[in-house]
Amino acid sequence: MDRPQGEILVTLPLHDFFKFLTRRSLYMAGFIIVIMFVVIGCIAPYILTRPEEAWGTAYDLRKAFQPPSLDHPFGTDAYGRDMLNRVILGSRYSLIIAIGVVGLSLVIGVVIGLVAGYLGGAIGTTLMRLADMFLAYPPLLLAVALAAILGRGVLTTIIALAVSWWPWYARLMYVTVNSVKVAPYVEAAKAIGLGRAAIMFRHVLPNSLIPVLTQAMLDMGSAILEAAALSFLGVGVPPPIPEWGRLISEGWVYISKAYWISFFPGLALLITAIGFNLFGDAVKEYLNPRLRNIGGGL
Amino acid sequence: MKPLLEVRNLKVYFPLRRGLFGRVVGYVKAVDEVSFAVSKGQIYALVGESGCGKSTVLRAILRLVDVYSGKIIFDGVDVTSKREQELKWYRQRVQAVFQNPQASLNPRMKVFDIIAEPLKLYSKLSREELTGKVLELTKLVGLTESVLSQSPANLSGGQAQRVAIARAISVKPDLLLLDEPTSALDISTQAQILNLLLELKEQLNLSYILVTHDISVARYVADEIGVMYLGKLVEKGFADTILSEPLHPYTKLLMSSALLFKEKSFNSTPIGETPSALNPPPGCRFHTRCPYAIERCRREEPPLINLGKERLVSCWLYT
Amino acid sequence: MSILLSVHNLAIDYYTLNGIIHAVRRAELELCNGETLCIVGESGSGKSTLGVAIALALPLNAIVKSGSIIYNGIDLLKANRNTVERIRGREITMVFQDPLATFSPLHTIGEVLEDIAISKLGVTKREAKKIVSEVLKKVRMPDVDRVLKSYPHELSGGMLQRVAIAAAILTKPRVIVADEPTSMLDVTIQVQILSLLEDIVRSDGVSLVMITHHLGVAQRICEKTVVMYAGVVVEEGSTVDLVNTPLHPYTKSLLKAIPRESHKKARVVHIPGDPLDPRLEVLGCPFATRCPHASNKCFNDVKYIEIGNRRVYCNIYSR
Repeated sequence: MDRPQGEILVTLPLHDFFKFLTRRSLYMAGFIIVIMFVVIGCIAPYILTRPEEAWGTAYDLRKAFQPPSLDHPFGTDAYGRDMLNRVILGSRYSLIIAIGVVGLSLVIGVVIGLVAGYLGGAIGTTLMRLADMFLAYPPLLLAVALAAILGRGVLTTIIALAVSWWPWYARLMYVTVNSVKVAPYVEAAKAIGLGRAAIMFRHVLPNSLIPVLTQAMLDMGSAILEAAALSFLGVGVPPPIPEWGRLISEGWVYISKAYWISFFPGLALLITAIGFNLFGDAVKEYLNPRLRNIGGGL
Repeated sequence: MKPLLEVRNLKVYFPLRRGLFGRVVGYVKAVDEVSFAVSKGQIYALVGESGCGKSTVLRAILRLVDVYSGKIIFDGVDVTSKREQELKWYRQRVQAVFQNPQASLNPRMKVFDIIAEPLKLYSKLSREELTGKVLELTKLVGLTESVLSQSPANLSGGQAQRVAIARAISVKPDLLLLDEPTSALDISTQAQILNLLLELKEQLNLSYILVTHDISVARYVADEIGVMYLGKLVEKGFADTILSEPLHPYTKLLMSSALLFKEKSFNSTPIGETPSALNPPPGCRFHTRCPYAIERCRREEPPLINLGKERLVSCWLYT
Repeated sequence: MSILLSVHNLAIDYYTLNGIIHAVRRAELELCNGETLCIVGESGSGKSTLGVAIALALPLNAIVKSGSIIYNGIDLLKANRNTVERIRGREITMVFQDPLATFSPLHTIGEVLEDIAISKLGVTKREAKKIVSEVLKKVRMPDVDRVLKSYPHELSGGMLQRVAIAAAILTKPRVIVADEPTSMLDVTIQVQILSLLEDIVRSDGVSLVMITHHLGVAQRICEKTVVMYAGVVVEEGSTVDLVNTPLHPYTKSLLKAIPRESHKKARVVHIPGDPLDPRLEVLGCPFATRCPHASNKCFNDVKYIEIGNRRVYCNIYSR
């Protein structure tokens, strides 16, 4: 068409995305939850009213098992520690782990997928078979093994999950790269005389990222859940770190007589996971090709 | 005078692979023995319908596809089997403009960077020198400075094609290959781009190989024309003579189908469709649709017959 | 000749995420019985929208702002659902540009065509098979039995368009609207399809509305031509008159932009200025911003002037 198309997907004007969000309350809710989670996760250490209890260094057995009240809106746990503070601090760990897992597996997956997809041939097939091998491994088993070797901790959890996650991104990247590498502008770049590396990183990579990044956004919620699962089973982060999975695990034994110890972390987990899912869906729908049909074809 | 580019007996065959180990079971003969030459300052048009192999010829010249056999000789140097590292000088002197303007520009780059990319590759310029050159090129193709900060998606088809042209001429090539440069554009924009190409040719002393299915475009710009059908060159010669007196039956068919203004009809309505390149007809490839086909056409493939004055036709009618 | 369909003062908007697009701002035309009429325009002219409106196939986000389409005494835009159902796809049918996109990839040609026959004509399956066979022979389809069992992707573009035409004439319509039916086909196939349409018009007395950007197509098969620019019908008249003595400045500019001979003999002239943003409201003639003869009045007060059997939207011709 020989007339200006107007601003389309490529430049992703943020205010336009905002307008899109405001039209759908569910997506807006997801967006708000995500923002809240990120903000609280970042400033958590600074807004704690009872920091020592949150960190788990102080405890008062006299205050143990108190149900939710004005003083302790989320109640107290077996050691008399305020649950609200613990849950708030826990958000920070969930945030760190989620970013760490998704970030690390993105980096590994994108690089491997890019190389495999662009070079193709024997290298591509080998790399993809490698990805398949990693996919076959149950993440839990991997995490347990790594914990046995490296010890428990935030870093172990991140590595354990990233190792079992990168193949998804590698595969997605591989498929995307395969279709991008035959695009006319890539051919034009070859005709200009650019070297393979320049073409891969300047032309193919930036145009292949959107599907992976969207998936990563959707995956943040799952990352938090999986980390919580690992911690719940005692493999992820060790006590006294108040990661949500851990907190649920700690309160599990007392579930009948002091439900709140597990309930509130569980609720936080649920809401955050839902928030990320909704937000991921919003991003996915916003980037959907249907938006390209602007004028209905004059 | 030595030609700038010579294509000799070019064959581009794409292998068909079947089975677990990718055994080669046959070939798609996209380009089957094509020869032609382009002199300095000339516009050569390769004309044909879809599937005739004209775009593949361009890609072979650009060394984007492998050559099955034949030679590509540029400025006296055989570049057919040179490796990528040895071709840098060649790529600078032979640049290309493709069919779909927006698609040939990286959607994630700004126009300034798109135009500057070849300059950064082939020369060492300071930031100011680079900006100066890019501004110069922008003006040369008739664009305003404001497009430099835009993304390709915000450009019209005509603007995008001009960006592609600016990019292609930035490193001062000798030869520009154009693959249907105006097919995706409106009539008025096409007029603009064609005139721009003619101007640039004079100003920068360029030579063009233009691939098109549109006879009126070929007629407008070309000095010499090569008509292709199913991978073969069926007729070659100076543009004005081929267009006013087409000799090969396929050329006649093309001319009468082209819906040109105020042209006398050369023929009645064509019959049949182009056969598949996987299984081209024996003998003369056009015989299945040729109203003049004789027995010989079905058995033997006609060679290019020289009729003098640079005119060559591949047809038994002219022996 | 009696008037079969007429369009008066039609204006259509599209509501999109980018704002309201004025696809058709002002359309007037008259289609007579058994006539071939061409709607010619560049991209953004609104020709497709006008055609689609006549075929009663506007998408959901299109709003008719004003005007009427009178067919057989009925205003199609205000008709009730039953009338519309009776006419759409039956008395007025459509052929689309992309043959592959017209058909479901999951059904054979036979299934699709029989489906149309059964649902639109109310015949039994056996009668449908007979009708379908006949109509495929009518569109000169080679190897009818094989085609009936084929899926769309197994057929060439030319054959698929024949199927599309077959689908359009199955119900023995009074009007066929064809939206650039040949622009995706090779030129030699294009001519076959156009001559097929011509023959059908002649033999069945159908009226044809052909939408195209190529004036050469109009010259080839259309008796009457309507020229559109930026959503406005700017000129209407017999094709011969329009091409030889264009009235509207836009038509004149358009004709000057088409390459008709070598650049060495005559240069094409592109239309200066930029196309109109379809979101802008326009009161007078949309071409005023680019017209060399525009006066102040042209920007807000223009009427249709009838000259003989021609019509022009231009102040130059007002007394």
